[in-house]
Amino acid sequence: MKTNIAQETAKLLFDIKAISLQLEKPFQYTSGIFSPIYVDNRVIFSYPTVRVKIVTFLITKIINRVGLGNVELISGTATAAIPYAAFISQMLEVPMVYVRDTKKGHGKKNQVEGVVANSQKVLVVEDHITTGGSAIGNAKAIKNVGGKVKYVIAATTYNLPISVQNFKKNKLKVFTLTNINEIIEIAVKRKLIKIKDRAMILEWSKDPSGWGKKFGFEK
Amino acid sequence: MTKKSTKTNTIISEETANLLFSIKAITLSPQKPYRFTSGMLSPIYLDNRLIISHPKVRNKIVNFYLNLINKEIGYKNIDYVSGTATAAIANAMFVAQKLKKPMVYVEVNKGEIHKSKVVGKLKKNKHVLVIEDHITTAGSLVGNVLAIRNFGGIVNRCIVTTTYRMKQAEKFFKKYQVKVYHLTDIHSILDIAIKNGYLKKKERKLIEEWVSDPVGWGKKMGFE
Repeated sequence: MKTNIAQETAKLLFDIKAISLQLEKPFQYTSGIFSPIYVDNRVIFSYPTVRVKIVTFLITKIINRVGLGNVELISGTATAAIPYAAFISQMLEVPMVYVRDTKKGHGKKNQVEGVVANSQKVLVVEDHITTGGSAIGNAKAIKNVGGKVKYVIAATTYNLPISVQNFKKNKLKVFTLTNINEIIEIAVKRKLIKIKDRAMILEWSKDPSGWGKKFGFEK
Repeated sequence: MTKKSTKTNTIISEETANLLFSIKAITLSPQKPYRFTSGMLSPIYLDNRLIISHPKVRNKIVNFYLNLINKEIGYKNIDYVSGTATAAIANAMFVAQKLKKPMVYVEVNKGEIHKSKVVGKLKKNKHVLVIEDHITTAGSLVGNVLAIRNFGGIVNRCIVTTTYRMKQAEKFFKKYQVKVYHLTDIHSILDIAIKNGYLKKKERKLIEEWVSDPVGWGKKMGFE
């Protein structure tokens, strides 16, 4: 039987508590936004059997959707996606670089760590996509030093409208293992949430900034 | 340490220096020193982050890590691998994957050490091997070690790709009671540099002087 990567990934992430759901008392992101879901994919590297499965799924995606011919270099976004990028580049035996967070005020000069050859085809690796901002920042930094970026791969995405727009605007194709819809389905199946809660989380993914107010969490 | 293992360590030390020169991770400029962002002058510049961009070199370095870990520490004595962010995260991942061990990394806050953050899922009372890419004064290595200890992990051994063997670093190792193993050090780097013609024999002293007094060096040598 063919593995359903989207469902399997969601299950694994729940198993290791990389995904948490809180409907009664939502999370508040550092940006101030309220959310019923929190994803921390950085924990997967502390689980050797889980990380092998997730990275194997990512490599399957790369082979099937991106094509190995389009991956001459892997670029991970610091710090969360560096382990992903390292693991993938080790498995594919291709070079790797990483890109420092642009928000932390590192000079443009040292944004990319490692070597990018001119016109090299670079795959951007991200652990999770919220707005797409850091993946796009990574792609821009690579382009600034002469690399070509067409594809981004990530473990998870909330499928927020803003991320879809951002990627479209920046002409980047994004592949992910799983997304908020699949995550909610698994959560319902595992009875982590009630069926009626499903709509509340989906509402968030359609309008994250208005959600807190709408449901009375924000005054 | 047996004679045989000393010999293997010498081979690893020389070969690592060779590899780092070959990818320009180490460059020397004794006559026209580099200026670090801190303002300090230095005849040597080292960027081990370049290793990740060279798969063959990277594989060799990782194998040297495994060799040293096996011989000096023992795979069985390691429950977790912890890399220092950002430079040593990739290295920690490569090694952790080969050992099939869990991995975490530490975002070190040098100003306020207690604010350093362990990222990932670490359990208490586990033996953690700390991995660092390079040691100058060992500040970030100590940050990693203390963060793991504060969390409840046990650290008494670290492994690094390169070290300048500065006195300050040795003092830290003693103070915080960690044993640090390295693939290569400043002595092997200078040996290889002379052997390969990157450095004149008479320039060796100049670099050694920098190692023993990096802060005062620029003035002493008349560059400042």
